[in-house]
Amino acid sequence: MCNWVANMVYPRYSVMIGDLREAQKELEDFYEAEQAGVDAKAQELTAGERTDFLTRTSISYTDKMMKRWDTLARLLIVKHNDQMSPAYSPAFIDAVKDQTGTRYVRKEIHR
Amino acid sequence: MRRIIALAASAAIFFAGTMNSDACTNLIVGKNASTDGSVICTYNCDGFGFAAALSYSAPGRHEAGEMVAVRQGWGPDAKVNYIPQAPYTYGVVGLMNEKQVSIVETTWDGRKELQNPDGWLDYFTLMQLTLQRAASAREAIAVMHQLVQEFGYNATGESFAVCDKEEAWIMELIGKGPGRKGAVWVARRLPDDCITAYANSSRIQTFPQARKADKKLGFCVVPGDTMYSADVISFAREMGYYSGPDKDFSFREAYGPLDWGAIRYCEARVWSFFRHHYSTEVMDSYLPFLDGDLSVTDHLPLWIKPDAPVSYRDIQNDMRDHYEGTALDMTADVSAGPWASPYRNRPVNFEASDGTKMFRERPIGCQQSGMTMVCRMRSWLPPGSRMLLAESSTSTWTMLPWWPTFPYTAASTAFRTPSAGRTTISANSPLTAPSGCATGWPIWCIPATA
Repeated sequence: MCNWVANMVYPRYSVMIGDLREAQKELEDFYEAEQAGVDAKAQELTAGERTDFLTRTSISYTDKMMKRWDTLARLLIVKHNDQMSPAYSPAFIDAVKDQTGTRYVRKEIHR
Repeated sequence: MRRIIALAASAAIFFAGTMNSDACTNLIVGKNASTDGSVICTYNCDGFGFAAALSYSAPGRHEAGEMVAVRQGWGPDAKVNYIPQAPYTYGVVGLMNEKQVSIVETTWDGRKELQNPDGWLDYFTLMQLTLQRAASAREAIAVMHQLVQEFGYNATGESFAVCDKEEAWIMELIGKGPGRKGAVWVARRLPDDCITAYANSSRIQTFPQARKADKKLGFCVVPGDTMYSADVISFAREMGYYSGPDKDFSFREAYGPLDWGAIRYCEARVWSFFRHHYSTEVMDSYLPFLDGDLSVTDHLPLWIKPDAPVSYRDIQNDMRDHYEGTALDMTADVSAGPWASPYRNRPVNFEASDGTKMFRERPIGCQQSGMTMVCRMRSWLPPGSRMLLAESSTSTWTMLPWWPTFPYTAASTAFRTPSAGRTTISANSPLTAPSGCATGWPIWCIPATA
């Protein structure tokens, strides 16, 4: 699934990466904030308990990520449906203009 | 009774024929260069078209006479050889073992004639066997030397970052040609307050030398600084790669001299990483070098002391780098397309319609990562190490925390699709379980006999 989101984002990067980074940061900030507590709890446990605890923690973190990514995927599809994404990059716009001369220049009508 | 344990881990990680050899980045941070005192090494494992499984091998004692099956080459049809099992193997998750030793790699290929197809061990098998047999980075380097001496090495020029909770070593290794076991190699200890990186080019040039080989280890040691195979210089002389005095010997010049691609597609990634953590003015003075002009300098520093301590969050961002904010910014010109995308289709080299030879920039954060990881080794915590993993491109994935602790008592039940093949698209795990292993997402490979 994460490849699905990634491959949607690659070609329409500038308009999609913001939402992706927001979701990514949300999760990575969460994992970082939890870190001290998880480390402290792990140290209180016996070896076997520790393994179970850390395994279950990793699984819950991954579940959380998968759920968030599913929400992100659906947002990206709907938000950018029908090429509603605005904003071609300035470099691209200038290159179009340089290559196509006056073809795409709007003209005034004079009656 | 001879018990054979398949090295399921290496079969689980890579599938046949899809590894692109010019394809990885490691970022390495010494313990006094990080914000929290951890040693950090990262791995963007970039090969088109594959998704790696997170492998696991259980720790345990082994009886005399036990053998390990190793595949000679990639893929399910590779020949299988057997090597003696170690009396005790450490548990390994991914590329980190229970002693907080991690090994990551990049491929620089080097002189093509030095590949030995008859060797039994490719670099990945070498890494996994070593992680099962080493409790420290220095021990790991010694084990790697012994294994390739005894069983042969069949891959091309490789860099390894071999790290533990106290130190990080960078190691470069290349074979000695068809029919010859062993490898020539050099390893240098990263100063604790420095950072370095590897990106598919040879980087070690000259190095401190010892008067003779250590009798017990069988290779040369400059204590706490450098280790190297005893024949690294003499072999280069034999092959006609070098003829000057020993003291001026450069490993890179002999075995992996830089060409345009090695500079622009490889050293540029190291440059961009350094530039995040050092004076941008100084780093921009290397731009002519990155453009193939060697008149002012012909190399980047091997390592640098960063201007400020580096956190693992910084490192995660660095793994997502596309040269933003630099002269090589991949989002900034028309080749990024209408939506400023820093991703480029293959191949890196192509031609314009008038035959002009052109290239695309090659960033640290590329779309073809099959797996990316951040290994954080922390000396003050038991269990210390924490590994962050993403399957596929770091840039567009979230890095998930894992802790390699042993023994695992529960398999993942988060998602299970045991019948899914490589190309199944689903919200659950898309990977096939190697036989005898339970998998799910997160991807585990727990041998059925564990």
